[in-house]
This record gives sequence, structure tokens and C-alpha cells, in this order.
Amino acid sequence: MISQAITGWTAIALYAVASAALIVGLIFARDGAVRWATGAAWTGLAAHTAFLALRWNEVGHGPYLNLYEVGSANSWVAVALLLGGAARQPRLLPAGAAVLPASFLLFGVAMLSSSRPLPLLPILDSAWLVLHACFAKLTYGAYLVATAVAALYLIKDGRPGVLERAPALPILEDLLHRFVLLGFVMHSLMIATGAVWSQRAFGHHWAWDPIETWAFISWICYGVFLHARALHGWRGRRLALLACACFAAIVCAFFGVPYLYTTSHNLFLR
Amino acid sequence: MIAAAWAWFRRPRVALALILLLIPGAGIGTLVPQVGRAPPSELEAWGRAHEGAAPFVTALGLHEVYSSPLFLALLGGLILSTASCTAHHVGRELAAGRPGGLVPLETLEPVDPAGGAPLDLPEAAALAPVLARAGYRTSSWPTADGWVLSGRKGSLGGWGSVVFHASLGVALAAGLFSAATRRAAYTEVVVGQAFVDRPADYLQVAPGPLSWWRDHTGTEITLERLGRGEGSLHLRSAAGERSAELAVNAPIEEGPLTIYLGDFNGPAVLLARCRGAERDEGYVHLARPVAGGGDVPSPAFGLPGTPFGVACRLLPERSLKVEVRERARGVVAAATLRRGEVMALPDGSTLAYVDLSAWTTLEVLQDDVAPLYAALAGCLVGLVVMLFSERWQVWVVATGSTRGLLLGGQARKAPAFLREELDALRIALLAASRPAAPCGGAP
Repeated sequence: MISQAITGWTAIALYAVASAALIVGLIFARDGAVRWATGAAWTGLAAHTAFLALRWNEVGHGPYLNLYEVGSANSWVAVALLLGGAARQPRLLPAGAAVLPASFLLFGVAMLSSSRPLPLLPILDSAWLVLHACFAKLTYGAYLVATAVAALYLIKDGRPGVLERAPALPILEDLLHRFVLLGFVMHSLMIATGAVWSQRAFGHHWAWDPIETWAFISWICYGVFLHARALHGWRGRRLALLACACFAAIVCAFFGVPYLYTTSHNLFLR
Repeated sequence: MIAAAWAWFRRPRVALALILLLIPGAGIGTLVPQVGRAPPSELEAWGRAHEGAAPFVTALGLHEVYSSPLFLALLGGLILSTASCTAHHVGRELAAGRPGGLVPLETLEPVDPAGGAPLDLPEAAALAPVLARAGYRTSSWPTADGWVLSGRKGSLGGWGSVVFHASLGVALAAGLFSAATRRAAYTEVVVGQAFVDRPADYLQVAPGPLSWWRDHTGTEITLERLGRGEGSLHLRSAAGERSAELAVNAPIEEGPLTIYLGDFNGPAVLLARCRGAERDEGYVHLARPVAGGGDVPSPAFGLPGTPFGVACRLLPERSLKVEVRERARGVVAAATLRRGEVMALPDGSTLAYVDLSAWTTLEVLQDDVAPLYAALAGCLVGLVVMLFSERWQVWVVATGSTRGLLLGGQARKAPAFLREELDALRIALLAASRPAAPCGGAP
């Protein structure tokens, strides 16, 4: 338990350092600060991975049973997607200026929530649940990175002098589209696997549970995003703003609904 | 008229309007507890907590918003919209397969292979092997201007979009059909019938008949044994008799029926309210799942015939903290009771903590979800094909008219690649159409 706290808070501190260094590096065009940020983020990810491994070892199941586990795992996926993507495409790294702060905040909220281990109920002990949870994490991670890219786009477009090290606007737009595509496919898989699991476990594939409903609404929102780009030629600032608006639906589904209403997902998200 | 309506549903603005109307409908379903999703006690509690709004909510049918005619009409509109768009896409894809179908000649890029002179037919025909070597699918057909050679390479991946949207329409329709035709019997098995309370929170019902559904399907289901997350059933129908083991996540199939064992079970307390010779008993479910054992408070539970609601919290040593509330005054009485103890209520009646029990759920369902699963699989396949296939296409059209050679193409991504393809093709075509050197050649 203590080792979890040490690794968890170490990761959060490193993410915070990486966030600050990356923002400084981007605004003041300091390559050294960007390198420091990258190193700190990778070290933080290593500590974060150790945290999740320790937790998994302690409770005997994956990180998907309460906010402590779900929040930390979701933030891990977002940072891993960012750093993994940036390793292949360095132009993605500036998106970390938004992804890293969001991740350390989410991880911090998770660390401050109850860490009491929950038993894995028989009804949850299903491969479908594991698939559903994995796709959910990839969905949130991809959408978070996409929103970060959209935010970068809006800043760079609004104040061209700022963030000179950030990629050019067309590249940011292309990245935004790719991450929304990834998130949309994962989102679809999350809904489909959730429906199959629900049918097998509860006898209904869809119950209009508030979380289900908002996951469906946010899926439709991102569908509108893709249609607006593909069929109606939406580009640039308008598309970035739409991506941010779509992410608001995701935040509502993830953070808003479980705290306001009773849902079958309350066990996992609060 | 029908054609106009069909075309109207294809309009993106109509689809967007349907979606925007669906969102507040779904939002209402989130705000107001829904029949079938929330237990009756929660609906009652909501009604008591919102006395002003409750009559309107009930009159407007907002407790059943997802099965309301308006909501179903919106979903039906979305299905029609999806079907109309899909049919339109299918038409376009089929047209694209026909010679000359979708090649926008007016937008193609002209190339002058012979210094501005129009190609003659033999020259154009000679280009066919060049195109074939470059991987182009060629076709030829006559036009009013003469003979045309067309080459096409790459795919726009349009069939992925068709499969996705068609499957989405089928999935929505299958979901609606399932919701309209499914028949379910749901029972909360309060394990109050002679149960054995074992250490690991294991509760067992004494063997005995628990039959229902027989009137509807002819299948008699008898619960033989029920433990936490497992048990056994005896099934008797016209096809014969058999016993089956119950387990969570492992539904039992019996003809058209599927039988599920729920696991979101938890403790329930049996309370008795006594006033003179009157005695009313009722179970209060303490916790839905199990997180933290029994210390999750129950929703307020109305006491029939009184203005009071009661909320209970099970304490670790299995004593019960009871709060009696009145809407206008809040908590009017509170006590911590052990089993068998009694507390007084403000109206002179008493409330007794009779017993601690447990409950779980059994659900019998008649619902064919195979079409829905097939449609979901189709959606995913179409989505992957649509979003991740290479989507570019290059056309080359050679005519016998004065337009000469025309090149054109479009790509969903990597336009630089498309430019390289067009440049390479232009060079190959120019080389192939260059006049042969005169005999003897250059020195």
C-alpha cells in the first residue's frame, strides 16, 4: 500500500514537472526544457506502470473496479498514447501540454479517492467486462489526446506568435482527425462489448442506464464530427471547436452522470 | 410524395435535427427515474421528493420516456434517415462501378501528350497496356464524341461506409424490435424462506417450488437451490424435464427462453409496522451491490398509510440504524435496533425490526438478440473498412475528341502520394504516346 502511494505520487509529481517544462519549452522555444519534459514524462509513466502493477498484484484483478483504479488506468492510457505516438511522430509531443496536466489531475483525483479494494463479483468476472473496460480506457485516452491537439490548434490559430514549436496547423488538424478516428472505433467497440456483456450478465443489452445513454450521446456527437469533416468540408478552427464540444459530452458521461444519478456504473466511476 | 419524403430523410440537417431532439429526450430519461430501470421504491421516493412536478411528470409519461411514442418516433426517424443515406450511398457505389459513372470529366486535369493535337483512336488504344502495367483497371465505351478509354486505380472505400450505415440501421431496428417484442419475467428472490446464513455471506434457499412463467410459455421453472452466485433449477416443458445449474454470467437456454441469475444481491430487512391490531410487513432492500458490505443506505422506503418514509443503514454488528422521515419536517424519529426490537413512531404506531434476509434476482427472458449482434458486428467491420482502408482513386480518360488525355484523382488522405501517382502516370503516358523516332535515328 505504501509502495503504491510512493509510486503513484511520484508519477503525479513527474507528470506535473513534465507539464510545466513542456509548456515552458513550447512558449519560450527552449529545446532543453522540452527534452526535460520528455524525460520526466517517461519516468513518470514508468512509475505509473509500477503503481498499476502493484495494485493489480494486491487486488488480483485489473484496474477497473472503482475510481481509484479507473482514473489511474485511464490517465495511464492517455499518457502512454501520447508518449508512444510522440516516439513515432515527434510532432505529436506538443499535445502533451494539455494531455499531461489533464492526466496528472485525473490521477490526482483518483489517488485522493477511496483505495479500499473491492472484491471482483462473479457477475463482473467476465472476459466481456475486461474487453469493455479496455476499450473504454482507449476511448477516453484517444479522445483526451484529440482534445489536447484541438486546444493546441485553437491557441496556435488564435495567437500565431505563441507555440512556435508546435506543429503547423494542417498537421495538428490531421492529428486531431486521426485521434478522433481511433477514439470513435474504440468507442464503438466499448458500446458493442458492453451490450454483449450486459445481455449475458443481466439479460438486457441496453437499459438506457444514464451512463449508457451519455456514452451513446457522445458517440453520436463524434459521429457528427466525422460527418462534418467528411461530408460537409468542416476544417480548421470550426472543427477544433467541435472536437472540444464533443469532449464535453465525454466528460459529462465520465464525471458528471455518476455523481448526479444512480447508475449501474457507479461502482466503477465514483 | 414518398420519393420526396425519402429524399427529405436523406438531408443531413434532418439527421442532425433528429439527433438534437434525441439528446434532450435521453437527458429527461437520465433525470427522471424510469419504470423498469429503477425499483418501484425509488420511483415512489422520487415522487415524494418532487411533489410539485410528479403529477406533470406522470401525466406526460416521463417515467417511461424511452418507450414513449415521441421517443420511438425519433428513433424510427433516425432509422429512416440512416436507411435513406445508405440507399443513396449504394446507388453511388453502383454508379461508380459503371463505365463513366462518376468520373467528373470537367474536373479532370488535361494533359497534352502530342503538343496540343488531339489523340487519334489508335494512339488512345495503345495507352491501354500502359495503364494495365501501372495497375489500372481499364474499360472502354463509345460516347457521342467517339471512343473512350478509361483507367481506374485505388478505391474510395465507399462500401465500408455502406456496410457501416446499413448495419447501424439494422442495429437500431433490431434494438427497437427486441424492446417491443421481448418478454421478461423478473423476480427478486427474497431469501426469507428458510435460509441458512453461512459465514462467507452465503445464503441458501430451502428446496421448494418457485414457479412462474408457465402460463406464458408452458415452461415451468422450479428453483431447487439458490446460493450466492450459483444455484440449480428444475425445468419442465412439453419437450421434457431437466435440471440445470445456475451461475452468474452463464445464462441457461431453454427453448426460446434464457434464464439469468443476478448477482447484485444484498441484504434486506423485514420491518413490521403495528398500530393496534393492524400489522403491515415489508422488506427494505439495504444495498444494491455490495461495495462496502451493508453500510450503504437504502433509498427512503415509504410506510403505507403514513406520511413517513424510512431509511435504514445496516451496521457492522448487524444492528440496524433506522431513520423515520417526514417530508416537511425531515427526520422525526431515529433509533438503532437489534433484531426483534421495536421503536415508536410519531403517530403512535410502532416499527419492528423483524428479520435480516437477503435477496437476489432471477430473470427469464424471451428475446432473440442474434440479429442485433450480427448488426453490431457489421457496424464494426464497416467502420474499420471505412476509416482505415486506403481511400484514393486515380482516373485517366483518353478520348478521341479534342480533349485528348485527361487525368484526375482524389484521396481521403496523403494527397502528396496522389500527386506522385499522377506525375508518374503522366510521364508514362507521355512516353507511350510520343511519336516513334524516324528510321535511322539521331546520330
